[in-house]
Amino acid sequence: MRIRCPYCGPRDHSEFSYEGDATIKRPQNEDAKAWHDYVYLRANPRGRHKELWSHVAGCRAWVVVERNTLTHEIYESYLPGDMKDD
Amino acid sequence: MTEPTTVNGAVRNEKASGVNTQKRIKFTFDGRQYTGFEGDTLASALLANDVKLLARSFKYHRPRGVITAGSEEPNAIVELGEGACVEPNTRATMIRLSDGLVANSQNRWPSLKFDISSINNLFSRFLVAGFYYKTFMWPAKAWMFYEKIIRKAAGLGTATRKFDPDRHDKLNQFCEVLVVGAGPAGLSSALALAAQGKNVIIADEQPAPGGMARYQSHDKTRQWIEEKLSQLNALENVRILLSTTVFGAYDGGCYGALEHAKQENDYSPRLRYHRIYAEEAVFATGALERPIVFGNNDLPGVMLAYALRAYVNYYGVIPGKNIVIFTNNNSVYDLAADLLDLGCRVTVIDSRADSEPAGKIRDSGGLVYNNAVVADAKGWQQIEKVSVYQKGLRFDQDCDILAMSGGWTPTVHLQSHLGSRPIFNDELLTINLTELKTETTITVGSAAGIWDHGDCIRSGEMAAEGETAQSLQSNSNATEALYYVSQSRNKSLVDYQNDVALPDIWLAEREGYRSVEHVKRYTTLGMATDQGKTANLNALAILAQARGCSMQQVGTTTFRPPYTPVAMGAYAGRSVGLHFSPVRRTAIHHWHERNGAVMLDVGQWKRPQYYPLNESERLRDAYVREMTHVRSKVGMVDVTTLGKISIQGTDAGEFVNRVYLNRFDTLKIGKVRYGVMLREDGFVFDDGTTTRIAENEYMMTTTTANAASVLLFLERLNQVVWPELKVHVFSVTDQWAGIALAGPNSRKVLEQVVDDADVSNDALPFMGFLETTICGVQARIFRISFSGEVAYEINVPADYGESLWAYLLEKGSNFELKPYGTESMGALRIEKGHVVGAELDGRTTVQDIGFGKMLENCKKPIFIGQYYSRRRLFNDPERMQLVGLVSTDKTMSFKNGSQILAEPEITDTPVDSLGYVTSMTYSPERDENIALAFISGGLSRWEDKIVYAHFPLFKLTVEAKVVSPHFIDPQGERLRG
Ligand SMILES: [Zn+2]
Repeated sequence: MRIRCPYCGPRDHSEFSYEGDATIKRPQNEDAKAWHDYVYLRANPRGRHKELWSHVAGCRAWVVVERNTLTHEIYESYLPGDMKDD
Repeated sequence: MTEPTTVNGAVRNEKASGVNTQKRIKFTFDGRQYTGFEGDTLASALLANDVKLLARSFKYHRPRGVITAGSEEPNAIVELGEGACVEPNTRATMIRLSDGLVANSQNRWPSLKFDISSINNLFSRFLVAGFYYKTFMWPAKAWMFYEKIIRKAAGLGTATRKFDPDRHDKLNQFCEVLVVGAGPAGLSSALALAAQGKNVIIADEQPAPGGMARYQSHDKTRQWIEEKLSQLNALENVRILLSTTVFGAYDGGCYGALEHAKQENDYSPRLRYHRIYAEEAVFATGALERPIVFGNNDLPGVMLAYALRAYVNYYGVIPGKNIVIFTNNNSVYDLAADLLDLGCRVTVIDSRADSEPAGKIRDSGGLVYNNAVVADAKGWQQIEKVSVYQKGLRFDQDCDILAMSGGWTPTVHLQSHLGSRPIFNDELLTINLTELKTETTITVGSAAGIWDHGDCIRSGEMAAEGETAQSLQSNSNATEALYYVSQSRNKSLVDYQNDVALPDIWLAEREGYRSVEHVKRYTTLGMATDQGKTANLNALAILAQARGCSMQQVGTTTFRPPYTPVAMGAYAGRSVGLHFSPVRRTAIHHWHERNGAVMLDVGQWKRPQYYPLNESERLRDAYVREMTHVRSKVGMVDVTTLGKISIQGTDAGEFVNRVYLNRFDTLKIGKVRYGVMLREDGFVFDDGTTTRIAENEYMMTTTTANAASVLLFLERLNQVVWPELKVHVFSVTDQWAGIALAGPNSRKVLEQVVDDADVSNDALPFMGFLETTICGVQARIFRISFSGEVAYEINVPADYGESLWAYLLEKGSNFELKPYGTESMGALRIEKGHVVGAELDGRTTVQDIGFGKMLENCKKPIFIGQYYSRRRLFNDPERMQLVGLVSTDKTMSFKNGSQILAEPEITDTPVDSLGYVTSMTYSPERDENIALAFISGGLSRWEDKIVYAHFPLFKLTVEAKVVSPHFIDPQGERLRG
């Protein structure tokens, strides 16, 4: 499997480290449920998913990878700043 | 008619195209020397030497010979090589003969011809499916005992425990189209694709292209293969990988391929693991011939018809003169004609009422029986005759070889790896893919259920145009649905390698195992190293018949990678021994080595543990001597391995402030501050110091162990969580060499080396920072201390690390400067009560380590851990908190990991533990054995009380007094001096 790094182009997945769900947002307030969800709760979606991968053995950019958890197909990848909210 | 010629005692067909009879090769099998020819496999060479018994079977130790001429071989499994090079469970049909090759049979004792365990065969009616599970289920403990004996008796070869002396390599390959299989369909497809200008890789597991077509006797076919090969060789956009098995298809167009690269007298690695990235793939993987299940169908001398054709026409080996061919289809009649041509006696037993090519064979002097089956093979250790059943009558027919063909099964493993599910096709009477084409792959030739040579070529060419050849699919061999012979009287094997016989499947079905996946696991069918390549379809047919349902209803099992076994060495490649993991050496490493330091692995780093005075000085004496010297004079230690992270940008101050629990926005330029970093769940993550180098530049140090994870965490905060902050973080660990000077004389040494800087206590006080030069080289001096002594950490560009070390030693000699290692460094920090990784194990809070004030004082709106560090339970006085322990008996030292109890004896288990010991040392300054520990209730409850540190594994109990964790200089006067 290869992942396209916005800086380095398509690179082998072994250069990347999986860093979890890209859609979680650090709470801006002291809401208990928001913090609980942010720190502890992770969805395990079937199908299209936004994931964070760090190009640790490359340029060290963090990349949002949109990937199908069922078929492993990768749709697109971009920098976290370019992520649009669903 | 061509007369067989005799070469070196072995009869060879002189028209053989696969061997070079000019080049003889000597090899040894089971201690006896034989001769073969260049191009031979071990199997063909042994057959040429009339060796038909090659192995004993897995469970019943039945005699076994060669069944196939390819990678699906279930029987002729041998141990290749000797000593450290030994490779168990190799298929004799895939071993290229090389000079001096040594192979041995396996799973037999004392010898292949006389094998004691073959007595299992007599008791085989007790050794049915699930026998082991049923017999040894109870009592549970007995299974542990029986398992060892069973594993020894029923088994495969033994792997060596020696280091593999061979080299293996890994490489990445990229292409537009990968063509798997270089038979007629693969070759034509590759050529057509190459003509379109495509960048093509064509791979085949055999050392020569041509696939099954190589085994034909027609000159025209052989010429066609030669011609296509030379055309491909001439093209620059085609790479041909022979002896290379594409064993797995993975996500994103990635394919795993294993090349048996080593040739004789060549310095190539033995195995090459290719990771091939292909935009598209053409699967021209061919088909496998099926055996027929009848009595003693595993007797040496029984083989697949295609295999006999390969041995006769390609390897030139004629293993018999009187040959019976048992078939349910037309594909064997060319073989019958070839054999008659060579002067053999040929008898065809054809299960079908009528066979169109029979007339030609009869005209050439062969016998053909229709409506007939071979019920049983007979003979002692090799075939002597067959019992034929025809229309209610039985008769014996002498023979020395029995060739069989139960039809052909397309090889669709790679497609299956990618998620395609083959199903049984009633018209083709074999399994078939529902879709020959997917978005990135297309299946051609016999793998697509196409049998005619010309049709296979056509389907390959069509694939290059993106067209599937569904229309060319047919049952052109007129195969009949015969899978097993019901008139057999002897053991009929379905899965040769795992010794699964016909009644095992019936038994599984009777006991309620209806799903094919369950039958597979219960009988172990298809679970040997050959993964049942020759067995699976027959088993499905037998199960369907037993269940009284169709083959589609039974379904198929799932194929998983690898297609054929892959040695671990190929996956490891060059990453063995020292190259298993990168070794990180500091810039001062070679000085440590030259000066006799005992080096210790700390993650990937090598660090000096201690510097023994002489050969007899042991660790304990050395570290006590080194730390005593630091406390009385001065010492220096290599601290290059500490993580160093540069944080720069206009928002650097805000960023650092958010990362740590304590304040950093108030830190002045040229000052250092100790910081504690939390995780979002409120527990302590790491600690270290951060220095403000300039207005917008900070330098953070981390523990050696957490350097990588802290960096990754900061990058997440920087790039994902707070991208609006204008800041950059990057590791500078490798850019700077670090040396810590510690001890009462440290300032005097420092004064000697700096070019012209004031390093007095006023100019460079505790937690001060100075950017200066030493011998004109940039030097950063941090006044920090983890030992409790006056100490400095000097950073210079890494290239100057060793010269600074030597310069310090030279200039410090007047003040008795000596190096010390990580062991004494650790002991010094324990005496001081400074926590490190052993204490910060992810379960401790700031309150637990005595920094609760830091949290109370924290008024920052945003920092990591801001929400969960304020959990009520973190203030629970029952939590385990950091304390010091002093052994009441000076001769008793602590053991890390000891559990702390209030009682000296454990009278009853389970027992509630009060806490545990994290770090221990001998303290020369106090002349006592001391330790850091976590204990429920902490110092406020336990100070000056007696507890017991138990280490039940060694039956060790140490009586201890609970004290403050700051064993020396609790007010910190010494380090500020
Ligand atoms: Zn990158």
